[in-house]
Amino acid sequence: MLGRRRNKVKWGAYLFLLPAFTLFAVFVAYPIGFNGYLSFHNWNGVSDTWQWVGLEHFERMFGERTIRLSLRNASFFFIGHLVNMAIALLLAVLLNNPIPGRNLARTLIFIPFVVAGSIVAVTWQTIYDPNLGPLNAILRGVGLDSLAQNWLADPKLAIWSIVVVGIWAGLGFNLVVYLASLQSIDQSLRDAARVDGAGRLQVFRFLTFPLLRNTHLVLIMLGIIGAVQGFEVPFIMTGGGPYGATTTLAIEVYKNVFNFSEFGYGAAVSVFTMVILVMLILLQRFLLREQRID
Amino acid sequence: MTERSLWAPRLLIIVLFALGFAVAQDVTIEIVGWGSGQAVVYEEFMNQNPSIAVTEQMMPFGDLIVFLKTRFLAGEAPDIVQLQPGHLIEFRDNLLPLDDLIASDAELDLANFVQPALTITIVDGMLLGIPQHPIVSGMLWYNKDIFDELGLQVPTDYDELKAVAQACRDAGHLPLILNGGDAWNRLNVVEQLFAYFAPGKKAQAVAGEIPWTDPDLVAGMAFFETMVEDGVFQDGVMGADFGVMTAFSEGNGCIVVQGSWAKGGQLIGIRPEGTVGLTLPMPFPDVTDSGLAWMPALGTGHSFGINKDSPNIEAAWEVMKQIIRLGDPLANYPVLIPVYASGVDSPVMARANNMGQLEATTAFELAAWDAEGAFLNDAWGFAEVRDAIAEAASGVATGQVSAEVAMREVQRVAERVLGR
Amino acid sequence: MFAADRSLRRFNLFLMVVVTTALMLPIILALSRSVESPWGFRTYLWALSDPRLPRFYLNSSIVSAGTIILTVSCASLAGFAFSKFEFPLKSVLFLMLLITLLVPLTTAIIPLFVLIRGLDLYNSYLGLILPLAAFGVPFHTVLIANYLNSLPNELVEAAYIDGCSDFGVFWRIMLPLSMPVQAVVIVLTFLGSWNNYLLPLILLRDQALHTVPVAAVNVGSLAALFLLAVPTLIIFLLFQRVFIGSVTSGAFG
Repeated sequence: MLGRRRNKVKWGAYLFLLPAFTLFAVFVAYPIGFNGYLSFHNWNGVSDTWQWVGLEHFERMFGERTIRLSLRNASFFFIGHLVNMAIALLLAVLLNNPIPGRNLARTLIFIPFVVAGSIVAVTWQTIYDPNLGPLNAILRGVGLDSLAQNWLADPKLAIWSIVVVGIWAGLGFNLVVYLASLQSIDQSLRDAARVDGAGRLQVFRFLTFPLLRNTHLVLIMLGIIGAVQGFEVPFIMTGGGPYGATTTLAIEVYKNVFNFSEFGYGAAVSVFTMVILVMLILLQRFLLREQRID
Repeated sequence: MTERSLWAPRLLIIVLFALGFAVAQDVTIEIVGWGSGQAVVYEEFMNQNPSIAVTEQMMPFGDLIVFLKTRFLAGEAPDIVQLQPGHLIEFRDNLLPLDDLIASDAELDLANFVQPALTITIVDGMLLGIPQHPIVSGMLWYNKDIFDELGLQVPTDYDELKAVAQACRDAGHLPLILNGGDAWNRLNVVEQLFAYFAPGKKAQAVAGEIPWTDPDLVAGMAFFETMVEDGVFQDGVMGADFGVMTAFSEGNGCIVVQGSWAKGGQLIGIRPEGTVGLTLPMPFPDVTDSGLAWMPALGTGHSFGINKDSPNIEAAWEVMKQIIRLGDPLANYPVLIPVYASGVDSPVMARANNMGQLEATTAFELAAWDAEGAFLNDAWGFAEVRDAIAEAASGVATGQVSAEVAMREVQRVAERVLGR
Repeated sequence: MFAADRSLRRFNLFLMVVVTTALMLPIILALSRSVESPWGFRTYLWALSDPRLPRFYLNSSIVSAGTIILTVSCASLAGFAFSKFEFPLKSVLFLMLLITLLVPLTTAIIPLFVLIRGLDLYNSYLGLILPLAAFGVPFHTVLIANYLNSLPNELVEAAYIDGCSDFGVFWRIMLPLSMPVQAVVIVLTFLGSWNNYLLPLILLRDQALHTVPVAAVNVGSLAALFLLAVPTLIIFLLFQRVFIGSVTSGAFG
């Protein structure tokens, strides 16, 4: 809403915008353009000359195993996020009941979200340690030796081990978002449905779940962003290994730029990441619009 | 020039020294490098030479090369740079050849250096750096207490190594510990396997003279998989992190893959409150029964060079001589290359806690430099190639790819990089 | 209201306790692992006497405080202008902010590194604060503008009649009234800047300047790792209502 004094133009407004837009122009807009331009060049990060290579970096990118694996892993992270949402929703429904201590439970579950991701990653590295880590120790302790695994070394398992860390760290966030949404739904609606003879499951399926549609969509969008730009947890826990099994687009950018001084190729991967992200979000917006017509 | 935050402390230090000596210092020598630095050396130098101030700026190695290149381009380079010898070639136009300085210096004699170490810092026939901290890789450390307890002998060939690993596993210890998550640690093993399976061929492949798909190199890579499958390393070796190294220092492992640089450090069992197990160096076993008892890879951890455009070359040379003389405060060798790591407190700890280990290690290192099969490990070439080999090892060890295919991938990367 | 079924209530309580315990298990396991070495609790004593830790806390505090101050000032000024002023290109500029919400920080690391190095801000607090704030400002501007839109315009008009300047209206009327949303901005910016790993990883060189998340990766012992998490936990537990409320409203912002 724009107020009623709409006919009166305030030129002073630009002064108010100046600090924000200066930051924006220098550190957000300029970098986007810089990336785009750099992605068509070879540059080692130091020399004065940028060598024009056209689409070479993009061609190379589509042939790289690591980029394919990054995309696969992004989809696995997204699947993990959907699982996360499901668990969070069930927990939110549970904690929406008047249970003594539910606020304490919510606080505890929220803690992993507040702590730095790198601390979470190192902690889980310790837990997953196949020889001395507590996870395998417990499995062996209860006689489930066959379930003790090389959690981060097994190429098929490693990515899921990392997905689990993501679920654990992000659950508290999804939970409080669902909980807040649930609390904003009028309880009398649900009570009325119960009076009309609907079972608890039916109320959830046909009333609560659809009413939370907006929340689902917000969380899905955040999940897409998180999945495509995943970095610190796999970077710290496995460095993207073994043999690229847990790599991500951001890890590929980091490696190429800071280990190999391939700034141009890194920029190309960055541009690619951004394009994918924008396309996915537009796609999601599009699907949202379709649903509203229903 | 780079950042305000560092100028303040730097200025403060200079001012403090100026006040402390009550003498105006005419010259400031700036040293840039990586690692923990060697403040002790420079403090002593400044005590003796009050007219020369020395400032030391340390950064992570990953940033060093770009940082130095930027500063050389800008004409604002430090007077002395600390580099890995493999990187000297990238700065050959910026560094001062040191041969004449040494030859004309009455205090120094080139013959007193460990000669093979010195050759590492020669580029295009010019001595561009003073090597410091010679290192031996292609060696292992074992926990002697555990070996004694289990009645084990130091393994010298692959069958013995396998047997020792099994005995350790049976006793509930980790066998041969490798931090597989760390590319350098993997490469330490791969380099030894290349040495045994394809003597001399790694250097040829780095130079682009032969392809990385050479059957002998492939065989070396394939043997890494064999070692993993035989259970020589601890389980889940490719998912390991530094925690497995800590496990060794906590007395939970039999053998660990680390070079001589680990001596006196936290890793090799020296902690503020003593040692868990006496840890001693051992040669990498002769995995091919080649008959060559030992093929240690030798190198120097770093080297110091002088900026040829420095306005204070004479003062910088005085500092360099101090580095040569005192670079390791604990060096008690009859050679002019200090040998001990100058980690924060490690040499002191090593001396205080475990003289036996220190002496054994010293003898071991000197033997390594004299070993018949010893070879100089200059570099892996470009960072991409090194990374590709480390990745190949990771893929082979986790059964994701055969050694042939993995080495083809290495060759593809090498060709792309060489063609750049 | 339905009379709650007592057995269902018990079951709910039981379920909640089981699930919460299961989710806390990793923390408990890691804590117990941290004292399993032959040195036991002494590792915590060593970590406590590690002189680097206070330095890491201090670095993170400076970076977070700087980012919060910069973000709050820039976003409040801009949010106020978008909400209460009319000016040419207003909707275009607002749309630009909305579009940048889709630009993740991870895709900008190369230009940010080059830019910060070029500005001679590499390896400095300011070099970290500026991009952290820049990537937060668009979102928080939108958040604040939306909040101010919900305040009645009569307040603004009355202030103008009383002779207030534009800045006076912002400073005396809007800022005090927007405290609830400012709390949200502060909390979200705190979380974003304190916990950011990627930017300090690429923009800092000296360990003496490392912030908590970067330090955590090579701090050496589990004991030190957990001590690094303590300040965040304390702040969170003190202000948990604000935290949870902020994160929720942030998601819908």
